[in-house]
Amino acid sequence: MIAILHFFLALFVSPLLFGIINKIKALFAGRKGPPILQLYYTLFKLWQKSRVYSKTTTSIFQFAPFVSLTCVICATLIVPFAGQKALLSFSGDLILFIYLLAFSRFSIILSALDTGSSFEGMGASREVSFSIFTEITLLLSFTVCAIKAQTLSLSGIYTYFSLQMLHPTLLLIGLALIIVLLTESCRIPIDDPNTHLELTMIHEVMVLDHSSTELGIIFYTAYLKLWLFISLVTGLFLPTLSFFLKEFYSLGAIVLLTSIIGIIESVMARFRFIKIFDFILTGLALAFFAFVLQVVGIL
Amino acid sequence: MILMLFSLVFFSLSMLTALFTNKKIWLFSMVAASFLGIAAATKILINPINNTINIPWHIPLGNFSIEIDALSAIFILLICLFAPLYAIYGQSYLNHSDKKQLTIFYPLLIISMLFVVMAKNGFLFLLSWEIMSIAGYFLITFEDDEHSLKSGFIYLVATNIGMLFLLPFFLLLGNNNLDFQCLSGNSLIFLLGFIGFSTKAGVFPFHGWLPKAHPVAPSHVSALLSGVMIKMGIYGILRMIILLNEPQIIWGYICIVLGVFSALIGIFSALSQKELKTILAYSSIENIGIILLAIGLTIIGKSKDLPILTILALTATIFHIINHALFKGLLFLGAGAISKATQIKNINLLGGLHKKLPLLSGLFLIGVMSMTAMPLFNGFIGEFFLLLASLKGLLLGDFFAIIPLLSLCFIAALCFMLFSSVYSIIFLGEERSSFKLSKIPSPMLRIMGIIALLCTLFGTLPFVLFPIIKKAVFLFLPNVDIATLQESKTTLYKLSISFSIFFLVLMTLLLIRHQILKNRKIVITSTWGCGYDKITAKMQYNFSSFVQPIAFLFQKFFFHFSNHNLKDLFPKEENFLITPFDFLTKYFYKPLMEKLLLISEKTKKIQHGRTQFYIFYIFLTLVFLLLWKGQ
Repeated sequence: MIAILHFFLALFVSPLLFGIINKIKALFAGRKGPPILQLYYTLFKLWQKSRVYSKTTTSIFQFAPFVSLTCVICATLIVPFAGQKALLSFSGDLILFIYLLAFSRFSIILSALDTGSSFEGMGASREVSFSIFTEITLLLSFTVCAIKAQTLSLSGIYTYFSLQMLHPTLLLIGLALIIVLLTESCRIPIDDPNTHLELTMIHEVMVLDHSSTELGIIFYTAYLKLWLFISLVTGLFLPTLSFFLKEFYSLGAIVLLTSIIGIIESVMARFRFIKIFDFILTGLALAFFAFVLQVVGIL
Repeated sequence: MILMLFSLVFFSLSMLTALFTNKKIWLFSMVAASFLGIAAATKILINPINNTINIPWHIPLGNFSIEIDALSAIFILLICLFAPLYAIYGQSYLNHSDKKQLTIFYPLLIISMLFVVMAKNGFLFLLSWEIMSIAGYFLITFEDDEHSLKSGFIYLVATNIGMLFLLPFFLLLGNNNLDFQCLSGNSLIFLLGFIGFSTKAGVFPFHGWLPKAHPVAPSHVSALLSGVMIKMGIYGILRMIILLNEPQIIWGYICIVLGVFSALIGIFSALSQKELKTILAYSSIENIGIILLAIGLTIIGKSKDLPILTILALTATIFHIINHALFKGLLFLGAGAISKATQIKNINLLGGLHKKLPLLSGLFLIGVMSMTAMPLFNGFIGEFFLLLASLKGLLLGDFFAIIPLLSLCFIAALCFMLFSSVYSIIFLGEERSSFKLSKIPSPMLRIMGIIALLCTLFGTLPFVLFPIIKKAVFLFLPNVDIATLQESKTTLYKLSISFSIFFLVLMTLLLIRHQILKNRKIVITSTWGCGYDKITAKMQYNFSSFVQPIAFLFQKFFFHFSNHNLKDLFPKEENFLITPFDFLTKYFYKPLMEKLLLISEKTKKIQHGRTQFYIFYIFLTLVFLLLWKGQ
């Protein structure tokens, strides 16, 4: 029952996170910034607009955003919140989680290449190249957690960690996951969501030709994905608390991590394309280091 | 067993009718034979009685004995499912006047494969193995041009090298009796057999022939070769593990290491190709590598006595064998349909086919999604269980399992990159060159439809295959308790539940979409080109540019970049080319072959064509034999 509430919480609150990030970036820049609920208004506006299609595109272009959103919604069903069991959990659901995100990426890549634009092809190519390494990092991080918790479901892992003392290995995993998070949700230093030059975009350039409801769906999918990754990171550091406190604590942690992302975006510049691989591989190295520590049994 | 015999009779019948060029009877007996074969295998899977034939024969080393157990039955199902489908496809795919070479050797290949999986005697096995290889040769050289003959020759050499290892393997296995029940062996024997079988399967470093031989055959034959025939090598390895009974852990490590290499080499080589069928052939090597990873984990599980690991890994093995046969078949048939429609082989010249051939595009997309292991499609199930098995191995303290885990994840991601772009380049965007479309005969699309349906069925409801897997597990672990088996069954059900939730969510979203967008205005414009509107189709991203970042990152190991130095103020015309870097051929096979040629050049002296000397050689041999045995 409480898991259903968590699920709807994710569905409704996720756009707020981007609002927070934008607000913090504005504060750093000395601007007033858009209201924190701006993204809800944007979604509502996009929802009502008329559609513009390129004459090159096919039906794949029109349906892909919906498939992508479905994948991320299903992934939301698997991810636990506040140390509670998720709606859907079974041995091996962490593999399904990774593959669902891949499926979501697959549909967006197809819709990007459907336009026949070389900008979107470039974006798709870059996105896939990065994902090759983020997927491994994600899987390896989950593996270390799974070995520690001796279970293969995300719910099991996060319930275990909500009952444990803070573990040093988790810091490494947390860092690796944050790098995955920044890459997967296309934030600075990987990708600048506010850039205005198509050549330097990665994720944004893939959706250049989308409009109206479909663009809204793609935005919303990104918000939900950010929520998922942030709750995956914060869930690792959930202390043992009583029932309702856990929820509040988790929400607080999520807002905190979101603000940290906002601060990172405000104080850092985007990496050069070649450097991005180094950055992502750093995450992989961190996760692998955690794995080695786990195997050797030092920590 | 009677059913199976009838099936064999019908297959032979179709081979005979091929001589008298009656197309209808040929097809009819092929289909009838396959139905009988499927019935026989199903019957034996349900109730394994009366499944052996054992007749003494005049050939030494044991009896003529065949038996259908669970493992044989799985492969019989595979063979008999695809044989008639590909035969029907082939009828409309080829419009050559002279097809005898195909119609005779196609059934022969099927019969010999059936005998390979049924044989329970080493001699019979080798005999059918050799017939299978030769039938394969005649199918590969079907086009009869210089290129296909050369590829066929390479295939033949590779096959014979495999045989070179299989002969001592069987001779060492049994003393004076090659019936399978009286065989036993050690690690050396395993290695001999492994090399022999893996040459057929196209495992690194014995894979060089596969991407040369498979693409030159007609598409449906390539589908049969890539989907089913190379699995005979996998069958051999699995059968060997059962025969040798007590597997050593080192065998598992060998399988995993070679599996990782095969998969990596396969996928990286595929990334730098341009012809669809070559890409598919390389991806077969990759998938064989994945199957080997699963087999390796099975062996480790069995030798370490971890039944749960064995069960999961074996489930992964069998799922991936079946699924790979399905989606690779579908993709090869799709490649055939594309080349039939456009006459173009280089995918960088294709594009925008979705609008013109929507049905083909849909079917190919299903194949691609299975190939890239997207959830809801069958390729996912095998990879899921392999990852699950590795994770389980890690939980149980076998840290070696991190290698299959990470490498599979990496390979799957590369495969994702490869096939998402292959599909998009061929079917989406604008046409990259002008080509005339010819019509695709509808039976071809129907056959592809059947296979695509099976891909989605086994992808969404994978538990329908569970009974087969259960039987196979009992073959490997005769005294496993049902409770451990139940766990993988539950996982299969849970996966199906997740998929149905996925389907429900998707349907709801699409319903909402339909409702709100029904009356919404649509504006059609051209694609955004940064304000530039003289965009041509050539400016689109193509396959080579799509894979460039990864090729650049791994250029030291797998790729060869052509020199491109745009240096001067007014640079001249430049080409840019990514080619695969085949270090194995360069540093191993080529020097080896050169040495061999040198030696044969020298030994040529005793082979000069003078009859007197040949008779003298025979005489010398006889004397030697008399002295040796006549004491």
